[in-house]
Amino acid sequence: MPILDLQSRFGINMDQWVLIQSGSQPNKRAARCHAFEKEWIECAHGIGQTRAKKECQLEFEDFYECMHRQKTLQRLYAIRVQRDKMVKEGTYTPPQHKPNESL
Amino acid sequence: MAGSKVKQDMPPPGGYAAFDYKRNLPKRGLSGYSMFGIGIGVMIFGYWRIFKWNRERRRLEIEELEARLALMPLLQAEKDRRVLRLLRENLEEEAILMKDVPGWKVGESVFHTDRWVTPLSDELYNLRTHEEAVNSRFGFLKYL
Repeated sequence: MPILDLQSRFGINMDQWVLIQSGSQPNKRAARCHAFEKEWIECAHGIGQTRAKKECQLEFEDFYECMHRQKTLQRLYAIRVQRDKMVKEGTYTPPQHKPNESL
Repeated sequence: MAGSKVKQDMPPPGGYAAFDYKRNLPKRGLSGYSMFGIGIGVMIFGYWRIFKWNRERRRLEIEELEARLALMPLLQAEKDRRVLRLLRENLEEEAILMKDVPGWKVGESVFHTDRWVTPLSDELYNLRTHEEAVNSRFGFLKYL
C-alpha cells in the first residue's frame, strides 16, 4: 500500500505498468502466464501476506511452475533418461519420425 | 647618342587595332526567384508523387494484412490439431517407456488446475532429435 501514492494523485503511470504480467500489454497480447497470475492475485488480494501464503499455496505453485517450468522440465528429463537407458539395454527402439517437421 | 638608328621593335604604323579590355559580365540565365520557384516546384511535384504512392502502398499493405486475417483460422486450426497429435503421441510413448518406473503416473499434469496450458515446444519435441527441438524453438531466426 503506497504511502504517498503520487502516481494516482497525478493520474500518471510511470512504472506501475511493469509491476504485474497481467497489466495492460501493448497490442493487447496476453502474457504467457496471465491466467495463473490472475488466479493467484484474485486469491491473494486483500487478505494479507500471512494468510495468502497459506490459503493461496496451490495458485502460487501453479504460477511459479508456469513461469519456471521446473517440474515440467524435470519430468521431461526423467523420460529422456529412461528412454536412453532402455535404448542402451536394447528393450526399446524409438519410432522413426518424418524429418523436417518444424513448427 | 643622338641620331644613331638602332633597330627597335616598334608598333606598326597607325597603331594596333582596337580590342576590348573592359570587363564583360553579361546578365544571363534565370533570376534567383525563378530558380527558387523551379526548385520548390520540383520538390512539390516529388512530394505529391510520393504521397500518392504511399497511399497506394498502404492499400497494398492492408490487403496483405487482410489476407493474413483470412488465413489465420485455417492455420491456427491446423497448428492446434498438430499440437494435439504430438501430445497424444508423447503420451503413448511415455506410457511405453515409464511402465516399469516405480511411482510414475503417466500423463500426470504438473499443475493443480485442469485448465488447458499451452505446451512448451520442449514438451512437444521431447522425444525427437535435438535438432528438431532447436529448430522449433529458434527456427524463426533463420530468416532474419
